[in-house]
Amino acid sequence: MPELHGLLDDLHDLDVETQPQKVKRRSRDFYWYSPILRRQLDDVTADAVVTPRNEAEVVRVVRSAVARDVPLTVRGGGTGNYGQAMPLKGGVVLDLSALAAVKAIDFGRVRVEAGAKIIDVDHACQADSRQELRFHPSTRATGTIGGYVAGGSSGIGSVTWGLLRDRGNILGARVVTAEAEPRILELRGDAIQKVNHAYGTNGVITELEMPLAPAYPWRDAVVAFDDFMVACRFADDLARQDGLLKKLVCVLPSPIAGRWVMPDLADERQSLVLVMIADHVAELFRAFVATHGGQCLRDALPSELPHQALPLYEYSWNHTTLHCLKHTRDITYLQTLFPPPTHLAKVEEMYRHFGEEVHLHLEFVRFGGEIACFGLQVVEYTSEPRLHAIMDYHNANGCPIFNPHDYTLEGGGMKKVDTLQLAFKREADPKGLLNPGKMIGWDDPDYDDSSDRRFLYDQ
Amino acid sequence: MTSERPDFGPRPHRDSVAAALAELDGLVIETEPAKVKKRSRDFHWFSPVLKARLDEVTADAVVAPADEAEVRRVLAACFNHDVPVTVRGGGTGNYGQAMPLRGGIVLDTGYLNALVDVRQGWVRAQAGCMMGVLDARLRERGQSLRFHPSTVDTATIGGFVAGGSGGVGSITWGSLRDTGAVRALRVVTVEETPRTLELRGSHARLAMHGFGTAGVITEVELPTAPLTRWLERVVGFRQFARAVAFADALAHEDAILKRLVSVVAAPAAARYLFPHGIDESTHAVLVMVAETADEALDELVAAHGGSAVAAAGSPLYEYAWNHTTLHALKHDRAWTYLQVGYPQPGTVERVVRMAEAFGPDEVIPHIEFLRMRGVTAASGLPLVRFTSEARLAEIIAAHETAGCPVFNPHVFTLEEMGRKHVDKRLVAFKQEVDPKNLLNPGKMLSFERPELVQDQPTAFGFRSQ
Repeated sequence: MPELHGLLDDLHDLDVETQPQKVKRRSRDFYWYSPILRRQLDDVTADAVVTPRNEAEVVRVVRSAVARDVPLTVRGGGTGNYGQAMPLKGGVVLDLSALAAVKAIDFGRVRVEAGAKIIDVDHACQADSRQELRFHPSTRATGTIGGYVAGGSSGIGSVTWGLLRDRGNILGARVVTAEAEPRILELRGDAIQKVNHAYGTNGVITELEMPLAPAYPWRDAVVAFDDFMVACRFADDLARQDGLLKKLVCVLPSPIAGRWVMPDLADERQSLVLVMIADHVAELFRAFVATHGGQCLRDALPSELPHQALPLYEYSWNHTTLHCLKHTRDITYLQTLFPPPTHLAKVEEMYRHFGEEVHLHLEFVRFGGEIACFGLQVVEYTSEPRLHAIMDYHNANGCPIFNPHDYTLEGGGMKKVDTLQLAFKREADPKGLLNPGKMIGWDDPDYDDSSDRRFLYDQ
Repeated sequence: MTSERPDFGPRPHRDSVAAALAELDGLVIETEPAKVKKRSRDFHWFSPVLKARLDEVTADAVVAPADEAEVRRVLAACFNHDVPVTVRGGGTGNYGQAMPLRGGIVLDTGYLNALVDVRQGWVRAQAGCMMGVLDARLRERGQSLRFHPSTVDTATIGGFVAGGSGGVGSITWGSLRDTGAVRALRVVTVEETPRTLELRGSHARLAMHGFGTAGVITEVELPTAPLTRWLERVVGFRQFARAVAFADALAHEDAILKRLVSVVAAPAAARYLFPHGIDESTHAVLVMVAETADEALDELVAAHGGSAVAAAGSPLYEYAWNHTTLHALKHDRAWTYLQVGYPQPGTVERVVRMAEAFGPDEVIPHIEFLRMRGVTAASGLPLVRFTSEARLAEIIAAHETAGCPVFNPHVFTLEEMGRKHVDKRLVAFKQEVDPKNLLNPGKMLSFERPELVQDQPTAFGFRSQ
């Protein structure tokens, strides 16, 4: 039986929150994007939130939780979309936001504590040596670097640098194990995959070493097209231009681009391509836009935009869904891989099949050395069975879905038991206290993962 | 093909050259025949075919203008007296790009070597600036060239744009043919009163990779790359197919920042490149990746069963691209080479199949990986043992039959090479900037033989693989 009171006694001198409303608020994320998860997770809450100030305090919390069998769920900025940091079995939420130090910036790499906000890491690296993280989520301003590695996968910059799971996009991870006497491990090389995108189920990441890219001035460009597929072909061709350095190539389809996402800029007939392009190739980019017949609705450095303007990336990736949800709660979204090299044909196939039930918001990325796109489609929601039918159709037609309406690792992006992560959990969390309920392979050794689908996190 | 020296067309009358030179009082001029001949050559002798055809080619004089005003004087004088003028940079071409088939004047850009401007993300330099010097100046400001030929220390930036295509760094940044590779070129026309044109963006393509036939490039503006600390590694494999598979996998790793991924098959790797590091049965993969990718590279090498090779030379790129051929030729003049494309999908299989089609006694594979329109591509510079032109033609034909297009490095015209797409727009541009066809005459056949002009215009002016 968990001994929560004993734990709270052990940690009496730490920053501990037990006031139920406050604890519940810090037990949540953006799971409400999904009507299914909203139904399933709405009552989830921890019993207490502990906010350690340093790694030694992290070790104390973990040691006490292990000794007293209290579940422990690590939380960063709480910007996940599928309840990654929601404590299904209560217990303690371990809020790492006070572990925010940037420890060392070197040529091409940064060492940082897991709770640092991504935007703060970028600013520190820019000030130090005009460097920045290779890519970041649209929640750059509120997400933490540890949360991104534990629960994210790609983002703004992936069109140049690929995904977090690619060898070389995470250089090192310092991890505290949930053993009777917690150990501190430094995982490097392929061993990083033990904890990458594991939702904190098999260790507490306290520090990360990340590679850096040069921090060029990026221009925010919005290019409008009257035809959705023309916009897609432009986006694909742009993504393939090795000479045009870019950070974002995002397609927002008609009518939602003008209706919900950027109503001040576009009308409902227009499909938009959002681009972040390095300033020093802007002239060449404009000529490229002209050859595709696009119309530039915006082409400016952030400093040239009105002060209240949002950065362009806050209209892309999961922020696109957020903008739509501000206008209507009758929508939800999907996560889909349109695999190379036939991704454009697959996009067109789905576009013809679903019409305006599934709005094809696309993000172009480098995927295994090729260009592909992810769909973060905005779906007009009617019912759970219909949503499942839509997902089944995608899966059956060569467009694998990474189900954002499932809070488990296997049900979401992983799709199958990750044996490396499961083995590491046996070693690092023998009592199964870390974020319980998220790794099916742990809870159900007989889980059938005999799927022949393509896996985002296939090793 | 025959070994006879072709008729390159008429040379200028001696009096015309003298009259042109007389207008160039005060310029640096060389007319001593041995010195002129030396500066009328490049690395055409990589090809025994070109060596036989071009060996006697020489200009009548070399003029080295000190600034753009002097360039205009040279071009006006050549226009007035109908004297051909062939622009020369470092003379590091491999197909006689800068060799004056019809004599006349070689315009040596060596003194046009100023750095004009450096900003964050781009640089502008005069055409005669050595790429190595340019890179060093960029390095002081935390930047570098995106890509360069293996001859970076002796090649000029203008020569690269006019006669090159890609090289060390193309695995990340693609080639000169890509949108965004060149921001602008400044070009002088050959007219009674030469004009100066600024060709920006895609317009620059008109003067690129044309061997200096369409305007004299005086300044080049390029995007730069961030300065990166590079690791150099040579990885050895016992089996050629595994070496190629490793290189292909590395080339597909998006998170590993790369500068060089080259495969040199056995026995050339040991015999010609790294005699102290490996034995003759080892196939070598030459790798340059960012220092931050050291651990990722180690994992990938281990996963593919490769082993690190010691005693490699530095800089490693001087063993890759056309330097591989050069090292082989230093040991054995019987080698020559080809330029082969291995299209996707099935690149690895094609490379292996072509290696098996000939033995290492006749063809030794050498593959350079690069980015081509967003995806990884493999480009071959195989060593080929030359026996006869007929046999060389058979080897080329065998590659083409197997779906591996050859960009023939044993020809000296743009059209035969096949990389530059000479269409109506380009011919019209040539007509505008060089109406008398005095620039490097004999290299752009279409200008003299309209039936060769491509009907199909391309926005890019380059044929892709």
